[in-house]
Amino acid sequence: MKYFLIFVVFSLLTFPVFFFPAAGNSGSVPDINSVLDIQIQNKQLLEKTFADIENGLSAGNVNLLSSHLSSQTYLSLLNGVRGYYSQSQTYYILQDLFKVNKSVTFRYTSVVINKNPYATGVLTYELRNKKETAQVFLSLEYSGNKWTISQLTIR
Amino acid sequence: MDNLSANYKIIQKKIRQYFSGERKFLTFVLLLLIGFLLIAIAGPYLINQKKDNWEQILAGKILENKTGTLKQFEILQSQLVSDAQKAKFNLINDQPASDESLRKFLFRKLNDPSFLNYEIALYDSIGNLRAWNNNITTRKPVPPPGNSGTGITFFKTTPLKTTLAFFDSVIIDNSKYWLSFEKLLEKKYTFEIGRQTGYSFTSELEDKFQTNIAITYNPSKSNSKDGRNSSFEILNNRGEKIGLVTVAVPTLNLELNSFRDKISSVQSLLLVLAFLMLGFGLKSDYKKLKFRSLKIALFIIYILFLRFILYYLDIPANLVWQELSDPSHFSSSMGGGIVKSPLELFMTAVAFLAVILYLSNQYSNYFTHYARNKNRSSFFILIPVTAFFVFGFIRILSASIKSIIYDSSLNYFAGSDLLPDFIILFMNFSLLLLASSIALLIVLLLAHNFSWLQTKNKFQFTVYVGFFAIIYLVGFLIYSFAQSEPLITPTLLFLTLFLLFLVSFKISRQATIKTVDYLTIIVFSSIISISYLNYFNLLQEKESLRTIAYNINRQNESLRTFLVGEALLESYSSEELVDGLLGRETDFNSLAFWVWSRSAMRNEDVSSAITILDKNRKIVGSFSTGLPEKDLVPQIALALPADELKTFDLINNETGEKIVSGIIPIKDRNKKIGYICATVVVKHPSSAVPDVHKLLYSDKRKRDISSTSANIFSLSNREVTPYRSDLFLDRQVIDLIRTGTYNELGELWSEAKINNEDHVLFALRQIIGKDTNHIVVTLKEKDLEWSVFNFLKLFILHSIFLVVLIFISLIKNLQELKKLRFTFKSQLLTSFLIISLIPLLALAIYNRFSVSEKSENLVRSSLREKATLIEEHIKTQLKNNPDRSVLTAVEKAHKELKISYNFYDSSRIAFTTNYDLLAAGIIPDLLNPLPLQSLRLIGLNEDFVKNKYENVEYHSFYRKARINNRSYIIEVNDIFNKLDNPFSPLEIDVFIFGSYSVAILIIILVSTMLAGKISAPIRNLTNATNSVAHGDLNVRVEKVEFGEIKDLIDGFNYMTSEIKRNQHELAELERESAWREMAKQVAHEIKNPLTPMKLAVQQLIASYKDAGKNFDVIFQKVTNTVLQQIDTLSQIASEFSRFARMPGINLTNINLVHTVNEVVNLFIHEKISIRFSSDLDTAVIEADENNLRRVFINIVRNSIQARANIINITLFDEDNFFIISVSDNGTGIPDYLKDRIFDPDFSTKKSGMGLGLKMAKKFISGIGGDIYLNKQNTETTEFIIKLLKTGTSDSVLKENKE
Repeated sequence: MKYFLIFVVFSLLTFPVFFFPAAGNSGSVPDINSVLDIQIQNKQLLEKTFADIENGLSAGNVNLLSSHLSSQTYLSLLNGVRGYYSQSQTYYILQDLFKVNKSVTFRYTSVVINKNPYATGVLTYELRNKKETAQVFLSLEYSGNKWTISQLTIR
Repeated sequence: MDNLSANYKIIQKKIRQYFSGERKFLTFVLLLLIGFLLIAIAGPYLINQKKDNWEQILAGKILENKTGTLKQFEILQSQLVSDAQKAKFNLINDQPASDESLRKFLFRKLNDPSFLNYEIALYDSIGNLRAWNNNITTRKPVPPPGNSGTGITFFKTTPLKTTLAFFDSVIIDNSKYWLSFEKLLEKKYTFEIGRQTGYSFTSELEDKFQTNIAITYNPSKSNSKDGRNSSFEILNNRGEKIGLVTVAVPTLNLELNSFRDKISSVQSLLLVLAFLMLGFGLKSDYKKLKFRSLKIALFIIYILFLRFILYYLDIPANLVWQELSDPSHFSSSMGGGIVKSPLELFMTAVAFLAVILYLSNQYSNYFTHYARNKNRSSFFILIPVTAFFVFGFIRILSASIKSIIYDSSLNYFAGSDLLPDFIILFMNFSLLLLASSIALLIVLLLAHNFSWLQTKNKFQFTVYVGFFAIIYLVGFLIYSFAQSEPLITPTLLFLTLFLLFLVSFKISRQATIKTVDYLTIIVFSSIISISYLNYFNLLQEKESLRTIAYNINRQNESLRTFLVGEALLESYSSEELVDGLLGRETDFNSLAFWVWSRSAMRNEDVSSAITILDKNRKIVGSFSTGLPEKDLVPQIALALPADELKTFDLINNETGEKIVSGIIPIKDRNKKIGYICATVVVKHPSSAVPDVHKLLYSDKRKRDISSTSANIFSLSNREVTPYRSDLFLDRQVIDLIRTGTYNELGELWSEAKINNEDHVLFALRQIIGKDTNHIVVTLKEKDLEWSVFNFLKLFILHSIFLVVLIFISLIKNLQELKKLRFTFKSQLLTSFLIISLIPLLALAIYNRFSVSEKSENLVRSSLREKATLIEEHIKTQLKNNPDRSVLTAVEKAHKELKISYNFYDSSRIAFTTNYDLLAAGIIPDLLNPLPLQSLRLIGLNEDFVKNKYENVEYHSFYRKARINNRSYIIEVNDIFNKLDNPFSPLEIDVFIFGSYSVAILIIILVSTMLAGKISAPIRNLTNATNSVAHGDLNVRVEKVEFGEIKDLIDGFNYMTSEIKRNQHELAELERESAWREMAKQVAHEIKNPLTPMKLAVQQLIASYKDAGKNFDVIFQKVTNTVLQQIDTLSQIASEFSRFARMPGINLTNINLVHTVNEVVNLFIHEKISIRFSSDLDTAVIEADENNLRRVFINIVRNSIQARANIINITLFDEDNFFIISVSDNGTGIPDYLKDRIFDPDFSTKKSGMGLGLKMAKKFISGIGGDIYLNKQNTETTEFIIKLLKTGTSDSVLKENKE
């Protein structure tokens, strides 16, 4: 009887090990492409992101884009700024940019929705009372359950 | 008249009242507010005035812009002509030296340092270039336009630059030459990161006049008829038109907006000044507030409000140098944007520091009033709460410093310059302020904790210490291991706590925080903050590997399409392209480079090309980075019609590379005159770094590690291809990369040994179909000496700040400075430092120069080796292949040896490995004048020259080679060739700076210790002498072991004890003598009345015996005589009694606060802590100062002798008395002895007469006061001294006595 009880206790203790898979690594690393395919299905979120960015650039209002800034955004801008900047820096750099170059309007010339979504557009702005245009390129990456701007070029 | 004069005086007096004392600040506030209102009222009026007078103002502005622009140009022109004339004069009038050839003389004259900013060339009469200076890039002369001859200025324009040129003839040695002098006006490209164009005269004018300006540098353009612009001509030195300036006409809107901004700025400034003045004006009212907590709260609110106003009104961001407000240097969203730029960070740090300093000033009051009345049980609540805040503030400090690294584009540890750029200096200063504030706050909290540990009760002490240790240990463990993101390592946390514990413990044993404590806190804050900064910097460097990998991966097709489209759309309609295609002598290669340098392609790490084609689609010029000629324009682009922009995605069949190309026509008045084509290719992993990128990435102010310092590899299946590296990845590393554990984003972090060196490794995996590719980036781990160097570099910078702060505070307190004595200890220390530091510094400087020289020699040897290899390779080829031409051999040498070099035939480039740069006109096709002189003119075989190009310093080695009976020059440099230099200048500086700095620190520490040890006996002696001078003869100096100092101290101790003994003896003798004298006098005085008394009684007896008739009369007479003499005796007794009183004392008004402070200072070097506190600034009594001082000294000395180590003295007023309480934690007075302490002969000491307290009581009573023992037990003793305030009436005094 005693050995039977030991056997039962032992089985109960070791039951989870045998019948449930181990936590952590379950074998191969998930294919990054399949991860992104899943995200691509959420087109509405992506389209909303592009729309927010368009509104923000059009109004020259960085607050409209701030929730879409990445922790490391690559910037190449009119005022000569070029490189990787943190979220805070990107916010204030863009704010300063639009303070001097007052945005008049922005429109997309192309929007591509795929694994590496990107868009190009034309920004019309005013500098010292003179209207100028600049080519815009932006690309997005999926991070932390949302789409963020990985690169923004305004030239 | 008199009335007027009187009224005037009254008004004057009133005005003076309003501007006297603190009221003047309130008056200023009122004036500033009135100013604010006046501006608000006047503003709209002035704006309307502007609107009404706009035409007039506009005409004035247009005239101002015109005259200003022409004036700037005239300055340049006249300077150019003047310098050219000076050069001409020198050439004509100076003569070559006796051993100097004419050519050498010409080179020397043209390379005069005063002409450094010009491009100078000298041509002979048939147009051959004969001499030039270092700025010349091409040998082709450009004669002035037309046949106007020489001596005129004109514009010279190429696709890359525009210069103002001056051309003149000069006769030298009877031969005619042409002298060309050029001053750069527009440089249309740059190799600086973050800037698209170089120097521009136009941009300077635009910044100066704040308007759009365009300058056409040719005379053919006519004035603008557009009402939005105004044009005027630029004339040369002969009054001929050479160009046209078009200035945008200011608009009313712009002008009014600018004016409104100015009004707003002035009003903001007035408001801020008013708020500041308000603070000063209410200062005395603030001081009168009774409640301390209210005062603290008000002060904090004032500072916070001031900070908020400054932030809201953008002051001084609007007014100061823009670089300080640039968020790309630093910006953080912490605090809602209150640190959004370096300037805002600085101001927030200053505000925070002001609050903390104020709180630290309250420290002594807190401790004196509240510390002694601590409730024991509150310890167990306060310690954990305080510990929570301590760890919280440490976290705030680490988060702030992390933000300074991560939210900043500045590299605080780049380069070896001790004094970095101003912006980095500024950020370091702000960092020090912030760290010092937070450290000071933590110290105040810890000092409060430590004050609880000062108890005589051993059990209580053990409990407190144990509990304290447990709380902080638990806090340490939770902070380091339980948090998901602790920010700093346990080692850094330990260092922080250790340093702050040290200084807090010291402060807890004092009544106040001394200046030396503040300095210690600043030094410790510096150590802590630099350690944190270094740690986060290392973290960021490692994370940069990830950035580099993603950067390489980022070059996806969408970006390439964008780059091509952007380059073409930006340029196809530009005037330069149109004019270039219409012109006849256009340098299309340069033009293509110009288009490339302005495009976004320049900023990307891609192989790219710009090609210009004529209207028949024939290539006329191109610039490419790493693309072969055949890939510049795809066939399809040449074949298909292109009436608008067309882009193509192609694949190179040979290499498998993906190509994006685009083409667009260039039109002039709707007619096609040419085409421009842009091509971008994903770099093949094994392709070399394009030369232009080597120039671009030489900027040392990069935020992250450039791809040139990290090692980059590409791993496909098992094949490793070095992308940018000379290292070799062994099998172990490859297996690690292939089988390592990747996260869900396909990232792997690891450490690996590569080439026997420790590396940090980052791998990014991409699975595309069945293929798995890895981008691998590695970085060598930094040696300890790098960390030491980084630390010391910033520490010395912080020390410089500290020295400057001390200097400023000393200048502010000049009176203190005058009192500052150069003590014996400081003299010793200075001597030690001078003796040891000067030779050490000299040695360091010598070593640095010596090692630098060795390093240069190594560079020279490496370059010489390469030049030798090239020369031998060419000679061997020609020997084995006699039919081969020299140039073919030269090309082959480059392909096989893979060395980058230039090959000169005479002074001209015959071959270069940097063909694209040469074709574009970026690098000169002429030999540098210096080696030309040494090799050709002097006759040397080799030369080694330091050059600078586009702000990049490099070395060039020149070798004269005789090949096929002709002399050529081979040039090899280290800007395009990577050299393995074991001693790079930076590494030299790291080693020398680091090791010598450590040596200097050790010297300073040891010298300070030695100076302290040697001077300690002298200091003790000085203090003891001071005490003796103030009447304390009980002082003794500690004995030393040996030497003359021992004899001096022994002598001093003997002297004071002898003085004391003699003083007692003398007092005794004097007392005895005085008594004897008095007794003699009394005896003498008493005898006088006794004689007549005796005679009178004898007379009475005789009369009684005679029973005479006159007995009654005689009786009356005798009794009168006796009574008289008795009165006389009584008088003598009274006089005697008065005489027996104490000798006269010197009563003056004295300030008790001052006297007690003096006494406290006497014991400052004793091993006790004396805390004196009082709310009173003055406490005036009438007493003999010396005696009073002796009383206090006596009581303190008694406490010390009772083994007390803390003495608390408080002074306060109560009714008509000042009460001084002196309490200590000595052994106390036993109950059975407490009633005897004021007895004359009572003493518990072995020596002494026991008169101290007795005398004290006598003296105090003598001036209407009292002294008594208030409290005594084995732990504490308290004496109370009551002293009468000055001016107290006698009736009150009498009442008190009763």
